Amino acid sequence: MSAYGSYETQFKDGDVLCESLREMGFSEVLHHKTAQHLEGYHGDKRAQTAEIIVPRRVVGSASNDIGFKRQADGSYAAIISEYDSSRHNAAWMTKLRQTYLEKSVLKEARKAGMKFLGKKLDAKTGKIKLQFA
Amino acid sequence: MAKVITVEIAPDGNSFDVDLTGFHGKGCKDVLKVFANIGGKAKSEGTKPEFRQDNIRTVCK
Repeated sequence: MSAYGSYETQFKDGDVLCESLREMGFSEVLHHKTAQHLEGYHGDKRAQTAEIIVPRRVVGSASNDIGFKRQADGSYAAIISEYDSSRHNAAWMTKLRQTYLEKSVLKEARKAGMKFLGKKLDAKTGKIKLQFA
Repeated sequence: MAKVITVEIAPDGNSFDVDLTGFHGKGCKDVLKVFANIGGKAKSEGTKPEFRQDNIRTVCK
């Protein structure tokens, strides 16, 4: 018998989330200690606030800021405008979650002193497999 | 059997599974604790039959 655990993804580590967003192609990601107002495409301050902000200038022309707001349980929830959600859609969020998970797993494993054996993509299931010893 | 930790990330990125092979019940909780910190909620924890090469051969007969 082998032991197993099964877990649901939540963005809990702000640093890893910032690193993941940079890997997704954003050259600038701001991590504030306290939530700041998001900017709209005219430079106007929006009512929404977030601790992690991808400035509109790196999101795309005519775009608004993308934010990740810290929740009461410590996780981050995405704030994406309707305009930007056409490009930063469910498929984009899926890729971000996968990137975040991969980076989080590697970070925690490294901290715990595990040896990384390698990464494989299962073509049949689409699962990413990370192995450690 | 050597101890191997396999983390499988679901294609939708919504969840991940941790499979421990060769631990024989020793130190499993500590390893699972490392990865449980990443995900917010544990969907399930427990044991499942070990997937071995012998099992495949048996099925193919």
